[in-house]
Amino acid sequence: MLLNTPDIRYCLEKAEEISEIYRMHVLNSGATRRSIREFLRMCTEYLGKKIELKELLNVQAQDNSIRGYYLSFGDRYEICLLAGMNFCWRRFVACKELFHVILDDERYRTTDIYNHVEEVIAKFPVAVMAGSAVVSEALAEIAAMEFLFPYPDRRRILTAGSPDYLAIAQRYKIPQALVEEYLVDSFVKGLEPYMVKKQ
Amino acid sequence: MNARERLLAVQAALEARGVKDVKFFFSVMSEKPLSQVVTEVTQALQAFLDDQVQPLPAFDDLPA
Repeated sequence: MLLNTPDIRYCLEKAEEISEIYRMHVLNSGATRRSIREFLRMCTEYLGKKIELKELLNVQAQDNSIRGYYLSFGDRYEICLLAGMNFCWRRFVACKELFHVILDDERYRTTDIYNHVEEVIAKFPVAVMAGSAVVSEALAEIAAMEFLFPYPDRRRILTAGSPDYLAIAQRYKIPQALVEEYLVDSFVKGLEPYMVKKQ
Repeated sequence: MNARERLLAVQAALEARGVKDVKFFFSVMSEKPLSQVVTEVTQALQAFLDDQVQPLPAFDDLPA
């Protein structure tokens, strides 16, 4: 399965849909920093999702291969974060896993965990060999970043030049590593065709 | 029991609890061997099965 145009469009449309609900129902929704607390409330109150957010007691995120995971039970979801992450990382991991709930689709589901891990650590580009579960991981991340750090903001920052990555991370309360990744010029330009409606 | 077998046992336990789908937030993994990644994934999932979890405190991030 490839990361194809309909997949990207679908995930960005969902991110926009969530942003629209956020704008309608959250006070001060225009603030740069979007609230994960309110995002969770939207998912439960307005979308009717049953979601529990948990934190592992004794498994630390530091140096771990994973920072969190999502479990779907069909009619409800549990999201578990590893311990010891800072505020920005906890927000981003929770947001990305919440987008798995939003993007939940039969074709992306798997409980074949070994195969999933094997696919992820294989060092080939997603577009060449990724299975559906890996595609789903990529889409959830793109959607989460679109919600927390919208494309028009990224485009504007990039156009202004010389971005101060740390200051941006602090303003949006997202990890600096993600800020830098999503401000790579070729990445921003690559998403441009999917953002026409938002220009 | 090797790393893969341990993960398969955890996978079976999750399925027995009704899990239909699992997704992960992977960190950047530069040079870790597959068996180590599998072991870490297994440990994190086993913590859930052992109820070694607590509710995540609500995010203190309401718009100012």
